[in-house]
This record gives sequence, structure tokens and C-alpha cells, in this order.
Amino acid sequence: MRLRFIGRVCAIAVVLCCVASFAFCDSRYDRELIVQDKTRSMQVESVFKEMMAAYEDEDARGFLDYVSDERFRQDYITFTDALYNDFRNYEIHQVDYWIDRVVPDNVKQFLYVQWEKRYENLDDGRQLTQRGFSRFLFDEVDGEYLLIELAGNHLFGGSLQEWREEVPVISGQEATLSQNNSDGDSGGAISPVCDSSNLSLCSNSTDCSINGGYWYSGTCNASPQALADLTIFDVFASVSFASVSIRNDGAAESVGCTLHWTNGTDSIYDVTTNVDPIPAGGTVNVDVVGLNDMSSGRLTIDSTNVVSESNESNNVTDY
Amino acid sequence: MNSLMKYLMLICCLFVCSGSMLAAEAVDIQEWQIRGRSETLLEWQDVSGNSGSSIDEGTTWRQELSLALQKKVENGTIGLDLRGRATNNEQVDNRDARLMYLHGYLRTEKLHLELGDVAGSYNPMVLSTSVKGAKVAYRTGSRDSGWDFSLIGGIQKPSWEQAYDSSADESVDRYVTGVDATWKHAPAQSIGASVSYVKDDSATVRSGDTLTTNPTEANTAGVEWNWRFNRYLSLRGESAFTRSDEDTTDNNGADDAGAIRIKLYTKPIPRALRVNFLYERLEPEFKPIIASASADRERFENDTEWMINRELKVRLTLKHSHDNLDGQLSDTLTTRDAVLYFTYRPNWMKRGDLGLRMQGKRSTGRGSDQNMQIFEADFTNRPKSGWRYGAGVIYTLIDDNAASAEDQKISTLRGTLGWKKRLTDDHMVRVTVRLDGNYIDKNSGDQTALGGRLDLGYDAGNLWSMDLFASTKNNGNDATADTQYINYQFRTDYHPGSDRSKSIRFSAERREYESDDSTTDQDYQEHLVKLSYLFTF
Repeated sequence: MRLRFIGRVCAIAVVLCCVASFAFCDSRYDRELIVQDKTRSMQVESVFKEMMAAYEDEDARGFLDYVSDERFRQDYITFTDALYNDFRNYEIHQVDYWIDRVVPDNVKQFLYVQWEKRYENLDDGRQLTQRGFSRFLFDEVDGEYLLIELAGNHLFGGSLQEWREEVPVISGQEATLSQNNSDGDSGGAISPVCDSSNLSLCSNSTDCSINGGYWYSGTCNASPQALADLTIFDVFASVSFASVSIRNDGAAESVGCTLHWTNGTDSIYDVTTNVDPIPAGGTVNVDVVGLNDMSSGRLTIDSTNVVSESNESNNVTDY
Repeated sequence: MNSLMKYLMLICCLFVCSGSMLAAEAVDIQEWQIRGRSETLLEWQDVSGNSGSSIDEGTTWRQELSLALQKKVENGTIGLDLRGRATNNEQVDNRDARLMYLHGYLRTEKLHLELGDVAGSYNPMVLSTSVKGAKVAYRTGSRDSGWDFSLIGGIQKPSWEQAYDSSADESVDRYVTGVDATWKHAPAQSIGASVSYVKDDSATVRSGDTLTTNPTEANTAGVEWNWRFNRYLSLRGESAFTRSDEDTTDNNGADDAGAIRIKLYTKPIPRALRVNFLYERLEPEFKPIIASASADRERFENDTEWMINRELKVRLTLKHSHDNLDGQLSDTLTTRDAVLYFTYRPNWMKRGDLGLRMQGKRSTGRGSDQNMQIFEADFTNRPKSGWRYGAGVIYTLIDDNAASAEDQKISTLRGTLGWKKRLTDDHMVRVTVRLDGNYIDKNSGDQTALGGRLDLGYDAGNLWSMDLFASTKNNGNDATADTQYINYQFRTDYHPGSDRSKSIRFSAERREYESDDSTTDQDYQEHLVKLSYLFTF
């Protein structure tokens, strides 16, 4: 290992020396300092550093000052939305980044950067670490370099599904996000990541839901969880008695829950009755006996909200 | 192939040498200029707890060197750019040394020849990438009128060592070529045609390993236009057609697909009002691989900006987009989005502004059923006295009817106070304090976050500067664990001899994260100390 390393260092040194010595021997070499003449690649690196500082500060307006809305080659509105979405969903703790190279296409400059981002998911309070490799294209607009295209892993705006679908894959990007990669290099793999086609790779509810999946049983699923759906479909009421027919329109059996009656004026006459589990598609009749006139009132099935239902909005019936 | 790439690097060096010799015969030998940048970094890091980071503990070092050799030849320039890095820090790189960038070039007024790391940003639906290979660009006519031709070809590799070291090569060999021809009629009047071809070497795609990609192949052709008719009207856009095969090893054949993007830029009242429209349609099978366009999307957008007067500017963006254009997906994701911005810069407060942003968004389909409204207001002022102050408030209402989702109300408040004072000619002191709070109201449990940061800095002209920084963020969650993140930093920068081309930098940092969660231990403390020497020449 050590020998290989020394060998490579020597090889690079030899190449550099050859190149440099050619320059020296040819040219009456004058060690002229051109520091003030900031190269384009240095300008781009400098702009990128400012962008990173704005991102860590969660300063969306400051960040977007470095993005050209007119020349943006993807969808600017979606990107803006994705950026705000990041700041709404994440607490950005730290972004370490290492600029790999800046490759010019005449005036435009492609910047490649390797990064590691640590942030807290505000949804579940977990701190997550992402590593990635991204490419950014900058163009000169009125003498300033501004961002016009993003590719590779989602350093910015990764919380929005629409934006994730917009960003192309590049050679060398990290295979999986939201996971720590101990060797720090995917070896140039282009492998599936947590997206709408690979929901099983999503490791948390946020990544799952933004990719159109359904998070339950600790995994991300393509179809919704089979849920019950309780609804009151018939009520026969008298002065101190109400016979209530309840149906489960969902695809799963409900758990035991409660049926609550109220006349809406005086809570001391409220009645709560237990309801046994109802199989999918099943119906039960429950009698509610009260101390007040029950010929009219409001009935609420699953009044304590213990049943996970596909439609929670149809539990209340006024009669 | 790998031997080919080894020789490509050698050719790159020879390119400079031979070009220079040719030039030497043609004209008086000009002086070579060499410029570059070196950064030597020594780091010490200590981690206790479970940080989840790939950070290397102990002492590590890193050396980066960028070199740019350049020489003027007859009517042009010849040069070579290099960038290399050596490190023993696994967080940065798992290799001891790496050549990161190699670029040789000959540029004349009409002709550009490039070798090594070269890039093409043609029509974004056809080709937008960099490769390790060669590029030729040729221009006729003047800068504003005439033809621009460009030809690029090479292999896509994440790094050079994967090109020359077969033992390190775990990446797919992706061959790329592209041609672009653009006619420039006048400034802001151009039309171009591009063609690209990409093919993966299926022998380098292995399954069951870290590589699970399929070998692909795509032919793409497109046109791009930018035409300014007059001061009121411009038309831009691009269109492309592609024949792509996402897996050349199966017998499913290639798919044909097209895409178009049209942007109409109007200025009914120049300098005061601009109204832009966008229409975009990318068919589901539109997969040019090396472009920056996404597939399966149709979008309509409007972007209107009205500068009512010198003080007040209003901007409205409207968007409607949907996917599932061929109906093959189980559901269609539809998004409607409207954002209204106000920016007010009153005459009586030249260095301040007031911003207002209101957004309404509706997303439906494929697991999403959400209405969202956002109201955001912020204010900043930076008077000449040195003070800087600002405040911002964001109120977000999310009405989410999707399964397992819930409604949320998010309130965010931010305040900043800063002061900057020039003591003598070159000496300056600055202080910034920022406080922010966040409150999320939802059925499964409310969340309250409070944070603050303090930034103290001192600049002694070109000689040295220092900065003290502390930040904290406390999150209180009803449903999940409470968390706390604290970060302290001290940074100083010294320029020997007040020469800003040299810099000695020192920084010390402590990061601390604590969570009350007893099931997943994510608590950690990190200490990082860095000492670096940078110089440019």
C-alpha cells in the first residue's frame, strides 16, 4: 500500500516536474505573480462557497441571488420551491464539502463537488447524514457567475420529489443517500437511490412520502396501508334511545373503538358506547341509551381516534 | 481502454510541448506564465459518541495543488491546467493521491482545441456533461455573428485514476460524443442544432456488485433557439428527439420520444414590466442520459414581474405541471403553484428593503393530497452607521389529506442584529447576533425550536483577521425526543507580510449534538482543529 502510494506520488511529481521544467527551460521564465487576476474557476469556487454559506444559514433569498432565473436550464420555479421546502423540513447543521474540479466549456464552468451534509429531519427529530457527489453549471451573467444547472446527488432541494425527478444522474454520484458510507466512495456506481421507482431504499417516512410511497410497518410501500373506514349509515332514534348502524367500508378490520352521542348543548347528557371490532365490509348495530331526548343530536364513531382509517372525515353524523 | 486513457494523459502533456515547439518556430517565443495555488492542511479530529459522520479521527493531512501553465503563441494561447490532491483523510478521499483535473488547450481567435477534462453544455435536452477526451470548437465570422461549431468526444469517468488504474476502476465505461452547430445572426439571435450519442460498455457493467445499473445507449438530436425579435419580444427554447435503450442487454429494443420547451419573453413596458411564459412537454420515454432534462412531465408557467416604481417591485409566478403523460402510472401527480413576491425599497431607507412572499400550492396524486399556503415577510436594513438589523416571519399552513399524513401549522420567527465599525483605516470590528424560533402545530405532537448564533469578527487590514462563532439550536418535540445542537468555532487568518496571496489559517471547532431519545443513540461531541497554509502564485 505504502509502496503504491509512494509510487503514485513519484509518478505525479515526475509528470509535474516534466511539465514545469519544460516551461522553465524554454522561456526565460519570469515568476510573475498574477494573483489579482482571479481566474474563472476561482470565481466559480468563490460563488459556490457563498452559496453554501447561505444554505447553511437557511437564507433562501441570499442563496437565490446566486441563481440565474433567466438562464436556468431546469425549472426555476420548482427549484425555488424545493429550496424553501428544504428549510421547512430540515434543520441544516453542517455541510462539509470538497471541490473536486472545475471544467470549463468556454465561459460556462462545470463545478464538481463532493459533500457531506448533516441535518435534522424536523418531522421525526432524527439527525441524518448524507454524502454525495454533485455537479453544478455556472454561467457568467453581467460579469458575475450564477448557477444555471444542477446534477448528481441532491445537495440542494432534495426534500421535494418534483425537484428530485428533475435532477439528472451523473457518473460518480453516491448510490444511496440517507445512509452513511464508510468508505466514502461509491466507486462511480450509478445505482438506485430512494426514489419513486425504488421505494424500498427509503429509510424514513419523509423520504418515503416525498417519493409518493406510504410509510408503515417500518418500510416504504408503494400502495397505501389497508385501513378501516368506519361510517354511520343509519340511525333510528327515539326519546331516550338510538339504534345506530355502523359499516366498515375499508379494506381492513377495525379495532375496538367508541361511539359518542351528544346533543351539542349540554355535555352532561353525552353518552359514549363501546363498539367491537368490525371486519372489512361488515356492519354492526349499536344501541345507545341516554338520559335525555335523543330524537336528534350528533353521533361520532371512533370518537377517541384509535382506529387508523383511510377517511377520517366521515365519522360524524348529525341526525 | 485503460491503456488508452494512460496515453491520453501523456498526449495531453505532449500536446503542450509540441504546440509550444510549433509556436516557437512561428513567432518569437513568448514567456511561459505559470500560476497556481497550493493548500497544505493539517487536521486533528476527535469524535466521541455516534456522530453518523464518516469523519476520520486522529491527525490527518491534505495537500492540494493547482497549476496553470500558459503561453501566448501566434494569435492564441496554449496551456495546461492540472489539479491534484494527496491526503490520508478517508472522509475526503479513500485514495492516497489523486489527479483530479487535467486540461490541455490551444486557443486561437477562431479555433479551440482541448484535451483531457473537457465539457459541453449544448442544448440541455441533448448534451450537458463533461468527459475525459477531446473537444474542438471552431468559430467563423465575428463574436456576434457567424457560425460556432463544436465537437466533443470521450469517456465519462468520475476520476482520472479510474481511467488509468484498472484495479481502481469500478465505474461503467460510458462513451459520449456530441456535435453542435450554432448560427448567430446578431446579438441575442441564434439558432443551433446538436446531436449526441452515448453508449455504455456492457462488459464494464457488473450486477450483484456495487454496480446495479444497466448498460444504456441513446441517440439524441435537437435544436435550440434564442431569438430577440425586438425590445418587446423574445422567443427561446429547445426541442429534441431521442432514441434510447435503457438496457441494451435485454431484447426490448429502443424507445423513441420527443421533448420541447418554449419560453416566450415579453416586455410590454420595457424596464418596468416583463411577462414570461413557458410550455414544456417531455415524453415518458425521453431519456437522453447525458442531458439535464427529466422525463414524463408537462408544464405551463407564467412569470410576471412589474416594477411599479423605483421603490416597489412585484413578481408573480404561476405553475401547473403533471406527469403520467401516457397513463401508464397508477396515478398522476399534479402540482399547481402560485407565488407572489413584493419587494419594497423605500427612498427614505436606501439601504433597506421589505420583502413579502405568499405561496399557494396544491399537489394531488401518487400518494400526495396536499394544500399549502405560506406567508413570509422579512425586513433588513444596513444603514451607513454600521448597524445591520432585520426580522422575518414565516407562517405555513399545510392541509394534508394523504394517508398517514397530517395537517401542520408552522410558524417561524427570525431576528438579526449586527454592528460593524471601522476603527482605523484598515481595522474593523463586527458583531452579529441572530435569534430564530420555530413552532410546528400538528396532531401527533407539537414541536418548538429555539436557536441563536453569535458571530464576532476582527479584521486588521491585509495582515490578519479572526472570527468567533457560536450557535445553538434546541428542539422540543412532543412526539419524539428533544434535541440540542451546539457549534463553537474560532477561525483566524494571517497573511504574512500583508500579502493576501499567502495565508496561514487556523480554526478550532466543537460540534455537539444531544438527543433525549433512548432508543437510538445519536449523541456525539466532535472537536476539529485545522491548520493550513495557502498560497497562490
